[in-house]
Amino acid sequence: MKMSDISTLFSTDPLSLTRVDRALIIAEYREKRERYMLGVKTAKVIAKKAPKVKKAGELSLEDLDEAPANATTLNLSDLDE
Amino acid sequence: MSDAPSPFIEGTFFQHSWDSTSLGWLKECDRKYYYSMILGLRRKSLAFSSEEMVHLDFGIAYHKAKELYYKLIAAGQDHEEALDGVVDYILTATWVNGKPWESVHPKKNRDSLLRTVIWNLDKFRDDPAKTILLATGAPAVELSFKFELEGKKLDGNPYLLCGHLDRLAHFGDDPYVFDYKTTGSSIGPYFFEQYNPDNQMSLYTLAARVLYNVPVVGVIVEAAQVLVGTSDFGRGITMRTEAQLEEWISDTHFWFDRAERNVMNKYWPMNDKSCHKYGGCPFREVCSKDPSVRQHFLDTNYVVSPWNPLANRE
Repeated sequence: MKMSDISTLFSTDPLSLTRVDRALIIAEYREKRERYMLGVKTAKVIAKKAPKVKKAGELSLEDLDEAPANATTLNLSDLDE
Repeated sequence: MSDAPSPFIEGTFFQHSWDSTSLGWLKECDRKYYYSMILGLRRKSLAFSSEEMVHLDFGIAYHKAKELYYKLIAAGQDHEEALDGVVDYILTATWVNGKPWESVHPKKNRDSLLRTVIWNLDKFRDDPAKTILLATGAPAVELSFKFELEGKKLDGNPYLLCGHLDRLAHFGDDPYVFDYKTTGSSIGPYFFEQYNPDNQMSLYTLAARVLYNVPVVGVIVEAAQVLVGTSDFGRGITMRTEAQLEEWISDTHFWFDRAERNVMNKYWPMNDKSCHKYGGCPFREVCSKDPSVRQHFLDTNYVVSPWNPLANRE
């Protein structure tokens, strides 16, 4: 994606943008995030930070950021009453 | 805002409807409460500065985007469809007078708003926290609340506590209130520690329990750090036990007694140990002057822009 393409989309009336146009915008931001995350990971490797140890089966704050592989099945039906 | 009923008993300074903002002012300093809530004063540079409006507009658009996303998901859309709807909303909401929104703030602008929302929704696309559905089937997002405080009356009428909850969701086995914050500050443990104890989070936990009959155990603060060129996110839990909430209610009775007493005495004492906290009180420049010249400073540097806890969120 060229920067000029994004700039054009940004300066276009949103009412005339299509879903394809918006998908291009989303893709551009995802690419930026990947580049950013790559930079963060590189920085972490340089810092040689020791991995954190977590007890098995325990929910922690980190679980709030990423879904655990064995995420709990939640029953929401009791709240519909 | 102007259509909302007054939070005061007509013709008096007795406030019957309270939110966390006005109660917070009272807790910080009686004088600050008097200037901010009773007189409705704002420093001119804050009330009408473009930068302050940017923070407000950015925060509102961010909250609206999150609300829309969860509504679209609850309506059956998948992540990509809902994200498209949200991006469409942001692009439209930030198209002002036939051109893109021109922000005066280097960190908070159209680009950083899109970036922050897209990155946030992508990060939490497989969110382990699941939005609670209300009895109507609607997702529990952007809920305004208003309820009576038990055991205390003002002129024969109950006190009302009010505010807005961003989201109710289950995490693990427990329900929580979610509260979104956008900040320029680092979002490490220190950031989240400021919310325990905290007036706003205790009120929100209580409100969810009282109004929605959901046994909420606390608030998950979801912070978005917005910087030049990047955004980062973090969540922190602040728990409230039954006993802590009862203590908060009991303390609130004390504060309302105090507010009543101040009105009856026509005097709101200064708490001179609070002036430098929270980035500095906006009335510090007034309180630091000789009492004989304070009114002049108020007239010159402040404008009336009332805060109303009963106003709907725009």
